[in-house]
Amino acid sequence: MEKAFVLDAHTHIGASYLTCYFTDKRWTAEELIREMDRCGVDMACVSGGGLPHEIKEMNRRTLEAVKRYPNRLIGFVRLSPKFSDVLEDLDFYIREQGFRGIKLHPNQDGFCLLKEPVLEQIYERAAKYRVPVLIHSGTEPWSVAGQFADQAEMFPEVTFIMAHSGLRNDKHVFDSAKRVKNLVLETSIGGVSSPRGLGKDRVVYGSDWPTTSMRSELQEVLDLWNSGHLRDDEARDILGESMARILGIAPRKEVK
Amino acid sequence: MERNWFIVDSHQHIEVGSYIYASRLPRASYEEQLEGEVQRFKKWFEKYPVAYGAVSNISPMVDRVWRTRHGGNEATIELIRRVGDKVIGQYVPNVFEAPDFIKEKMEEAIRILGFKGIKLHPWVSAFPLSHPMVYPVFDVAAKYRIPVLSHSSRSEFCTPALFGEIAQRYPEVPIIMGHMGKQHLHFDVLPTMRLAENIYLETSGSKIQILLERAVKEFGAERVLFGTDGPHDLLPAYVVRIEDLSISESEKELILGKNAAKLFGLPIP
Repeated sequence: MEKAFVLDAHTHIGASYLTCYFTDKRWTAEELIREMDRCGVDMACVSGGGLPHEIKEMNRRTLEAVKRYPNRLIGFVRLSPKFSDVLEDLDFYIREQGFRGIKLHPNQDGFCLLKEPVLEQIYERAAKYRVPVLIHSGTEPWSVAGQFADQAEMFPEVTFIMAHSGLRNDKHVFDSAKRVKNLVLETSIGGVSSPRGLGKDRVVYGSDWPTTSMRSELQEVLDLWNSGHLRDDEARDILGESMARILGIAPRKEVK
Repeated sequence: MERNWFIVDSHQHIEVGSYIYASRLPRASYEEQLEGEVQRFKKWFEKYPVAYGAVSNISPMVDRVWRTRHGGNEATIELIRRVGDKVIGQYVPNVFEAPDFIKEKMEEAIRILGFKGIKLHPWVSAFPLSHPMVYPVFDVAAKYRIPVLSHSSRSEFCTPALFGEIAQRYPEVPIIMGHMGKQHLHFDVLPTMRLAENIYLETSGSKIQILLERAVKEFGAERVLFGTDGPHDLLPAYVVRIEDLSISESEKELILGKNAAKLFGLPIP
């Protein structure tokens, strides 16, 4: 069978939300590319990760990585409402540097969906630039499923991607996703939801590497495919084709 | 999977009788449910290279007042009889019964029915893991030196802190922290492990590679057990997660099977 196109919707360079509290190690773009090659991942959405005061540096490192590997890496700008120039950063990275998405981490950056006024301006610009917004989920009170559905209803032109699909513990994820069409479930840690009942391009593979094993997170989709829980078209969509459509890019197989 | 490992899945369930999520209640008789689980386990053990699975039934955790003497643990015994010796029984006691009654049933479960481990689910059953009402369970576990696997999560009934307290009170009992705090209490795991040497981790539910690597480095791979909370078709992905840890091959062998085999008294090839 022809190898599927694989696009990891959620990776980091530097560190990740959790690794940064266990180690000083910072992962490089080269390490990310090596891991993608090992796992058969063609392309990846990447944002910076680390301690919350490092955001500016995270974005600079991400920009360097994307410039170095333009065929493999797709830049997402990490934005925190706690920084007064957050909208300037958004414009700079999306409009001037070609980043294709926004990453928000309410749990680590200490803000609450539906309660943070500047989010409205961020979402308005996301709609204007036609870029998706990837948001950490599964941690009360900052970002749980009902809040995702509510804000997706308020901003129907924005594609919201629920990173981690609620971390598995949130039992409202699927019902919330059913309420709106512009809410996409990303599989890392939380597992792979069935796209049936949601519609096309509603579930995307992500690993949150280096928090997790990229190969293991990818294997979960392959396991469900191999065991018949996912049809061929569903598996290929989840593995990368849906995310390519969301980003408006052509799928390119970079790994043989 | 990179190679043929000796795998023991230390955390499996059957669902015969009452379910956690009532919307999933089957419209089938007890015998139909049981035979369905028997066939599911047989096919799973044929499909995946797993030597043993330590199994408990969900029903006795869900029911506060049991309808039979062992509240559904009977289904686990029947599973072992029909599937074979790949299935290792984990007995689920009812902590809400009188202490002497709990002990009497556990003695029977271990000595006569052949259960090799104890399973507790404080979140589903609604009791704090270290509450005195649970002492009779640990008294018997200590007497026979058999392991107690308990669900852990951010539920107030089974946070890692409660594992620390009960493990210190019963140092003879291997206490397995199922899911190692799940997706939220990652920062509690290592401090809790430092409190007592008889606390073990079971790997399903948490996917943070560096947390497991830190646990192995500080406490040794001997205190980590592979589990799936299955059986399910994600077995390869769960094994890959262990394969990808930055630890030695012999440490992976311990985690994937040898540690659990030792705790449950199983032969190691």
